[in-house]
Amino acid sequence: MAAETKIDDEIEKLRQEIQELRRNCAAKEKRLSELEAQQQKQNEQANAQQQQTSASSDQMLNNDDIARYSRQLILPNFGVKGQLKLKQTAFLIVGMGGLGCPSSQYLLAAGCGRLGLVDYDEVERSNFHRQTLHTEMSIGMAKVESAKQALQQINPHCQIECHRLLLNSENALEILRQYDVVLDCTDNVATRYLLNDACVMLNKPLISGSALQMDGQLTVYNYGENCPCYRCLYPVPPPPDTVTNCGDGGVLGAITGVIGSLQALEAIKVALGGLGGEVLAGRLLIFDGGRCQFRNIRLRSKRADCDVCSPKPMITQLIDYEQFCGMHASDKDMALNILPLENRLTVEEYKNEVLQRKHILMDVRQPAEFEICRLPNSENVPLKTILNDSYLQRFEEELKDEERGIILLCRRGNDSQLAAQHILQRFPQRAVFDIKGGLHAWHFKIDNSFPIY
Amino acid sequence: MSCGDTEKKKINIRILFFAKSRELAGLDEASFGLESSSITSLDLLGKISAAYNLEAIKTTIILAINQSYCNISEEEQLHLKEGDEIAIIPPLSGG
Ligand SMILES: [Zn+2]
Repeated sequence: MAAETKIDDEIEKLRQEIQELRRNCAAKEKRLSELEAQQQKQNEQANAQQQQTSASSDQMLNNDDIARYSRQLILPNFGVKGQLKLKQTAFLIVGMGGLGCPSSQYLLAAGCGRLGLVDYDEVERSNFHRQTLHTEMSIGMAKVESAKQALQQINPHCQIECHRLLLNSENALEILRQYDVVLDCTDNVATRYLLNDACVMLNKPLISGSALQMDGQLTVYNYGENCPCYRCLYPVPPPPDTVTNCGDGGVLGAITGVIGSLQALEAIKVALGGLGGEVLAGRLLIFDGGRCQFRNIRLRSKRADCDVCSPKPMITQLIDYEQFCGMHASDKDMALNILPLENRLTVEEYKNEVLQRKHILMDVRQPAEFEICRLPNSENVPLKTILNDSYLQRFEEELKDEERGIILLCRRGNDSQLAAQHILQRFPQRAVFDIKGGLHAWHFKIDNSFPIY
Repeated sequence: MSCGDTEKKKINIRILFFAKSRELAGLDEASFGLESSSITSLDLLGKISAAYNLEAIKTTIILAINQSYCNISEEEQLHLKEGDEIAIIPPLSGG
């Protein structure tokens, strides 16, 4: 026993020390990037002068370049000219997640001249299965810094710029202006409209990729005369409650890998004027990973009355996109508050007061999630089966007993409210509650050995 | 046979559901019967949305007929053929 306690103590001590070091490290990284930005500004001026006087390195290939890029240099439509063009092109990747990791990796490996990375977020464990640049060592680090470290190992000759921020209407134009080609690797609707509008205003090609579950989509906007923009295709944003994010819907890493790699391909083609083929502009590629089928949809031309890309646009400067979409510019869940407070239990109230009494605990998550972890006394009743009332038949016996409380539970306390609201409409007199914060709250407040995902 | 008769002919089209529409419809694809091969795109979208639980996302769907974008409007008169493929493509925003 004593030995075990000693090990426990040491583990705890090490954990705390590592945490402290990480905090320290994060502070130093922040300071470093500030200083680097400062230094870069100074250097830029000096470089501008230098470039005028001496033959700059992006006008010719050195021996390292020739060896490094030999396999693409010998491609008939690529050649030395293509390599130099790539070296002179600056790409901006917005979102260093499942799409940003593979696309940045291929662009950098191919020898792009300058690569900008935008992301406000930090690395966490649930990223690893698809965000393949980040490693165990970089948990808690800024994603842009973690990605930069990994990318520099792949190709030390390219310039990588980190923009650790949430792109918004105030900063977008300023940042996008510094690049030639923009890749939309974001995870939310608001930023997609923002990038579209900004790219239309600055006339920059936008390589737009997205992925969820087993599906992917890809197209190129703002390339060529007739190519529609995102607003031409989707003039109105989807209702917020119909949008699923990767955190809730799940996604397979190989799916984001496919779409992210294709984004790099299209970005290279755009930079090189088509690479002897045809850029995916005016077409939408649909990838159905479940069947491993690709479809190419011929898209419409520009919408004559498009709010942003028509000759007489309504939108001439960037707007508030979170307001326009009614959604936050991240894929983090917003906490819903639709159920009256008197129908909401805290995890403590549930454990201390309700658990001993007669009740049914309905866990409304998907079966796949229920299989990951569950409370011992819970029944899996997926939200869908509550909303379509098929639960009535399944719990016919239990529901006859009007004394029995109905408690709804989910991962984070949003779906449980929807379920409770639906049941309350049918049984306004019954004791129907949801558990605030769901299983996440259970982990943080009751039992931290209960897994979170 | 007059042109009017042809247009009144019942036909079956093939509907493919992608992303969110697959989840809402609970199907990958379906065969869908139409009373007439002549229909406006707005009507077609209305019928499909009602039949497959797509009302919530109706305004943000791309409808592609035989892999070609279809403008949704009451003025867009379609002349469909037996076996035409209608893809229902909602926007995808994850990454
Ligand atoms: Zn447009």
